[in-house]
Amino acid sequence: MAAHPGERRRRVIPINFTYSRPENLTEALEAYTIAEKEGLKPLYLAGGTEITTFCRNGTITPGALVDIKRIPDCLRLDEEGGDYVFGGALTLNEVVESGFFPLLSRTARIVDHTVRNRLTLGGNIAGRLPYRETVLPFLLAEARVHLSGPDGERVVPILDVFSKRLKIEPGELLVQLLVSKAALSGSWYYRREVRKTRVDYPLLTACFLSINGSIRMAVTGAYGFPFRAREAEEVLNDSTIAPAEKPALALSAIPYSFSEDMRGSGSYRRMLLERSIAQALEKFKAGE
Amino acid sequence: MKRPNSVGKSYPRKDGPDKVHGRIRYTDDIHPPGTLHTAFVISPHAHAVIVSIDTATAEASPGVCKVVTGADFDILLGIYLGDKPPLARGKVRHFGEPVAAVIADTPYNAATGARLIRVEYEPLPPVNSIQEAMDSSAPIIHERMETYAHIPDMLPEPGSNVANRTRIRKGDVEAAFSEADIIIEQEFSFPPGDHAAMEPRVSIAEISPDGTVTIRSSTQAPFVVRSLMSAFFDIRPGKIVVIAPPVGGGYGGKAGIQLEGLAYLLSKSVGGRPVRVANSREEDIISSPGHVGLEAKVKLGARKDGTLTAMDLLYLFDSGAYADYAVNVSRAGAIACTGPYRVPNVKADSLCVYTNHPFSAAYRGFGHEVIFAIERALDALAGQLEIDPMELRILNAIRAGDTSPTCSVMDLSTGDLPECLRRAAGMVGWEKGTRIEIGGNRVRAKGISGFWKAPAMPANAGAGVILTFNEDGSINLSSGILEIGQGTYTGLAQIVADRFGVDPVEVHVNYDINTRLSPHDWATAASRSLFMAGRAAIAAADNAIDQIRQIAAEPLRCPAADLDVSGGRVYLRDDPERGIALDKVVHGYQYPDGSAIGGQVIGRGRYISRGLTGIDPETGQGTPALEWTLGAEAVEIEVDLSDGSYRVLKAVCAMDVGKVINPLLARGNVVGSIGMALGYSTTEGYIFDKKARPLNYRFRDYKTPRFGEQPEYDVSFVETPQGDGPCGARGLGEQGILGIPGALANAVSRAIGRPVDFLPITPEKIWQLIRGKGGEE
Repeated sequence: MAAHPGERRRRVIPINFTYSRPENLTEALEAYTIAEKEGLKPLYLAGGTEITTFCRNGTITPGALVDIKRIPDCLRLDEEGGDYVFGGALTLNEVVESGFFPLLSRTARIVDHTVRNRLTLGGNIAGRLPYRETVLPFLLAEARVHLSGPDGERVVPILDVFSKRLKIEPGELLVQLLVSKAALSGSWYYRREVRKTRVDYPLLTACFLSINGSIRMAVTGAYGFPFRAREAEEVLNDSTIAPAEKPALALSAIPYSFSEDMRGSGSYRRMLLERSIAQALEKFKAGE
Repeated sequence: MKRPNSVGKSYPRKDGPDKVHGRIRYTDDIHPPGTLHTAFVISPHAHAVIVSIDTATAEASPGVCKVVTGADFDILLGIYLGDKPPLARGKVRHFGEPVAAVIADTPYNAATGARLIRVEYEPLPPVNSIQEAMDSSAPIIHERMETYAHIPDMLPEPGSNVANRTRIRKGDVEAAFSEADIIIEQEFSFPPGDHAAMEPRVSIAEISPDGTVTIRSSTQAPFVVRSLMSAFFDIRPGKIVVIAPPVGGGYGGKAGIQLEGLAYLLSKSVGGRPVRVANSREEDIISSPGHVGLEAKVKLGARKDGTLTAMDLLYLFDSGAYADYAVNVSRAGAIACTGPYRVPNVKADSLCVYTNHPFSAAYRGFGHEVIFAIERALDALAGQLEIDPMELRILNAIRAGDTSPTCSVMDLSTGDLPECLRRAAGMVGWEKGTRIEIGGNRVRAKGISGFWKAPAMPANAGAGVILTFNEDGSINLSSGILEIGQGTYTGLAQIVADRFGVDPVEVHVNYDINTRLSPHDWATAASRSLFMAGRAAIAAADNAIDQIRQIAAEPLRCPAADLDVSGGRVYLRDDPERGIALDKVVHGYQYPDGSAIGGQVIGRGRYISRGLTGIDPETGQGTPALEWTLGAEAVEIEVDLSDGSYRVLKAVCAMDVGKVINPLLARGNVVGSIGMALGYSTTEGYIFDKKARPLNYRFRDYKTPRFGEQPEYDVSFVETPQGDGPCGARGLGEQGILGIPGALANAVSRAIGRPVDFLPITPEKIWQLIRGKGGEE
């Protein structure tokens, strides 16, 4: 009475979907477009961890999954021109181990090694969970994103298409992220704070990049979404403000409210973020 | 002739290779042909009236055989107190309570059917805390409690939310407090949580045409399932077969009766076909029971020198919506209410309180978690008297000749708690300082705690072992004990091997328990498996050896009394060369002419607890404890005072286990207990919203410690023999979980200079205390 492997399903996700695994971008778009026309509510599938979770609890019911993990364009990890190219279907371990972009390697080191074998860069940035930690280094480096959709391909600055989440056209796929090597010349600071255990969503993740004496800052978790903290940067780079006052002032410049949830209060997040800013300033000052 | 000994030596666990290679068959790996599958509709409310359930669409859905709701089953189940309908009936009492079940040919069709059921609710005000539940204006969660059947040991209070109240009255507490030099009063709490066992619960039930009910289940208590099934459903026990494969982590959550009764009812509703009920992870957390929460009020009286004179204790256990095992957890908390200390005057009320939280079962430690409150109060006392907390505990440590809270006399088997305290202190470097500032806002601090635990079990709990033999003389061991990860199979094999003077590899232990084949056993719970089945194993081995001597005496032409058995032979004690290999004896001896004598050897052994009684309902006096295992634990932590973050650097345990049967597995068990304790002390526990719904009922949100976050562990055993224990051993399966919460909270309190009176201790809560939202210690 031993189980057939196919029977060993304690719990099924009661939805039917078509599955395709295209070998190139053209096929992927075709599969997506056909499924869309048939009303199947298709999704691009990379690691699938979020899709599984949200299907389990019934939040989403995709009728078609287009697996992009075999598409060479989505798996690129190399240099071209003055850019580093990161494919959207790379696993986070591949990103971490590439070492091209040290701040990204650090930021992508979330959860544990086993899970990072499954998580992908594109999935982390374009998924539904609100943290999207790996986008922070790209927001700081002012990367470009290579998108491919029913209306063709385009390469646009990430800051034009990312506002709290990736805002791209239906059917558009995040193929690659392109980072200019010149943007990586500065020093960086990274801080991730958790409720208690490291393998958890962050109370906050803050990334800082200092390029030619100008500090850039991006945050997620603290306010419920990732963003480039432009207003805070203005304070940090204002030489008329005393350094000791900068962290608190930078925070008051940010026009959002702190998150309050089961992981932590807004006041705790505020303290941690203020400290992160101070530590970043300290590091950059020491480096100058 | 030197006998090889195996008791006291380390052997890797017998079930280890099969587990790490994935070869063990758990309940979920069993698929009887024609099994139907089940999916549940669960309540999104913590407390609501069920207005209507529309099942029509689901019933018409492909592959669906049957849809049932609470209205179909007019019966209440519960191990001690029958308070729980198999499916919610009339109203729901907790978030995640199953209200309807869909039975279908495939898991897919069952799940699809379940999504087609529409339930209309009318929300009721939820009871979201013990305090709310105890308020006189609180909604009554069980309106008809007076009609509930229960065993005499449980004392429910109809018209309130109290499912059980156990009283301890010892000495004259009022007089003792009036004479006390110092009185400490403090309150402590922790929230309910989950066991987080790797294996979610699963049960498969079928009813054959002759009425035989077969249950396959992930259970720690197949014989309890059999007897309760018989009582609830009026089935003769002989017509019930419970088959229990090895369990992938029990921790108490698979004790008593869990999904088995519902699986039986569902099978009955489809004409007896096999029906599988299998929890998803989420259902295992919110639809099946977890760990109790606690609110404790502790009042200590002492003399100036630190001698404890009185305790007045109120323990309120949050059992959630149903009582399950929690009524007995609250009783066990009363029996152990003082912690392992000599207290001449005790008044304790220990209550099991209903709330609209997910309900609670047994959990490793079983109510003895009240030690957390006692140990925090002792540190407060030590602080006020300026006595070393370790010395205060040694001064008050319970010893042989003292009386327990139930006024039973601690006998000569009482463990050496002062030695355990000294060892734990030494292992954590107590003498080098308990609070050291190491610069950069960082402080290293230590905390220590005593602990004790007795099995909470029926006074007539028993165990049995049967030994049979193979043609090579090797031994087959059958007991009623489940292998749930605790290592008992290896321990039992060692005990039998030791008796036979062979390597434990010669003893084969049967994994699956079958209530028709295996000797009766109460349950694999209460840290008494090795104790009681160990005694039965010794008796069975001696019984088999007697039979072997009787058979061999004839061909060896000597009295049976002159024979020894060792190393796979039976031989003359004073002339070892004259003997016979066991394989020539265990199935009867055959003479060269072909004639045979003796027949096969079948060793049988049994054990029943000795001289135990219930407790008096007014005073709590009685002798309910098989034995007490005493010990001490300590931790060293490093706290960052700027943000409250901390690491546990080292966690140590010194425990008096009577005799260590297997040092490797004993250490593993204690380390596992400490790790589990660190889980519920640092991160676990439900976080409820205002509507009494737990927010963290997925592993994305319910956080247990990870492998890389473990501290350095150090474990030491003291061996004061247990007079009636097997080879002098006593229980150690749960005890290591009990001292860590108090030791950790004591260390954090010492580090930050403010009392930490709650679990889990998260960095943010520490930070809030440091900022001033808490009193000075």
